[in-house]
Amino acid sequence: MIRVQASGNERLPLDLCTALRRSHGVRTMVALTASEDVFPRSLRGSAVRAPMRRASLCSEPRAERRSAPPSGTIGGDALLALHLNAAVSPLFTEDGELIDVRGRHRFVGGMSFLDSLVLAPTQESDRSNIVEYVVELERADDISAFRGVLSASLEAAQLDARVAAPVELSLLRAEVVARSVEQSRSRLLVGAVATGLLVSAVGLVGSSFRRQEMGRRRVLGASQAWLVILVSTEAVLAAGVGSVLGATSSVSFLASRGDALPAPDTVASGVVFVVIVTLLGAVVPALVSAAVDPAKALRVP
Amino acid sequence: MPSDAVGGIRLTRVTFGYSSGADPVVDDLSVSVNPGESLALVGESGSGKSTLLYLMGLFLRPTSGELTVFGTNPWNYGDRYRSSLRSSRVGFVFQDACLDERRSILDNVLEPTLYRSTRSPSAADDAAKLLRDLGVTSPMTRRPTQLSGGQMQRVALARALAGEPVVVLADEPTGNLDLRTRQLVVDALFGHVKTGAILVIATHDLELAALSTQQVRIS
Repeated sequence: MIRVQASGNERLPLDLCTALRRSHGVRTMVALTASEDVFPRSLRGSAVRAPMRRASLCSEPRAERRSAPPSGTIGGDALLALHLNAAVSPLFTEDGELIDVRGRHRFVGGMSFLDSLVLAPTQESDRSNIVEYVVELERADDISAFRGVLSASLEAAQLDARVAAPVELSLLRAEVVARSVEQSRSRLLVGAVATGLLVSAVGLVGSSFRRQEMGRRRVLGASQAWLVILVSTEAVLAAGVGSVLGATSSVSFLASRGDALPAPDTVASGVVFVVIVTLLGAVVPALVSAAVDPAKALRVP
Repeated sequence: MPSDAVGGIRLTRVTFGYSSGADPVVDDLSVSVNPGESLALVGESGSGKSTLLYLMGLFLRPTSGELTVFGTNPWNYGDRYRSSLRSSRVGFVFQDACLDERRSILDNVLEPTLYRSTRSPSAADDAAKLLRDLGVTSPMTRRPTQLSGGQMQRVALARALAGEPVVVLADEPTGNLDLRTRQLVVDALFGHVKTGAILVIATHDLELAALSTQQVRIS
């Protein structure tokens, strides 16, 4: 496998890539990108999930998949999907259900040199305009010559692109999967922190509206600990119900689009995580509520 | 019948101010009230009588001096002790009823039982009977917002008297009431004193204050 990383706003020119494909035994050429925005709008978003599902590729031996893809429209797309996911789990079940796909797979239509555009974290995912091109040759011993031609072509075209060292397919696959996992964790962490801050903010606003209620409860005998438990429990219940509804609607939305669905244990983990973060976020408003002075809350002169 | 009010409530040279630099709201006050007695705190609005009531209710801590309730200084203990004391032995009547509009009438009366460690099995029945005795004729499931002001104050009174507290603290309990409801509230409060309870009323109603065993004028 050859990996070419183009940075800035560079994309490999169509004629260069087309020529390379013709002159060398390129089996597949795919692009990894953190955001499909780097490609022209006309090339984005035309998913080809339906033919991929019909292919049921995972149930077939790898050799058969490569030599005779079940559908002419799915070659590179399905192959890359297999490359990136075969070590994790099968891509499609026999009845065509998509499972455990890392990244979203898009058909790039008129970008003929490219078999597939895959939305997946690139090496520099903090820069959304980075594109990684991965080229698989028919014959491994052609790699050295191909690298030379490619490097010379890029230099001649004065493109901000570099050719990385050849990499084993399995290593690339593991790397992309690891990046996906890391990206998911980062997003989950950011989401969790945001959720916690939101819960705290809403809770603090809510506690200011409930001052009289908390004051009345204190007068009638509620201890500070009782109020902390009350406010925390309310927040956790709201977060639990909200996250379950949110997860359900998100999964339904993904399913309606034909996107990859997260594993049930991932969804459950997310719900539990949100609840835990909410509990932490509710601590401050709970303490504020518990510390309310009944005399002031009930407007004693 | 309340029977554990021994020691009553005693304030000895109590001073309280909301901030250290300001003039104290309560200044070097000594007063005591024993079981079966009532104390009226009389004064103009803003004079500090409600503050004194809240000192006795253990919501405010004296800046200096000593406050004992049933022979014990509750500020020597933690919040849980004082909260337990309030929920199980103190009833509180607010001027504006201060009911939870999301709960039914009956649940409002039973609210203090939420904060007690134990709850009598007959608490709901007792609360319903108390509401009827106080002339609340509305269905028990009705919300406070569906009641008149007088009916709401009766519910608040029932909440204060449910569980037969040994101390009842009332902050302008007749302030906004019609004559009939006022009389009912007065009868209920002073009737409770006859059972051996302590009643402390903050009021500017001199007729009501005159019914009390003793009065403290605050200026």
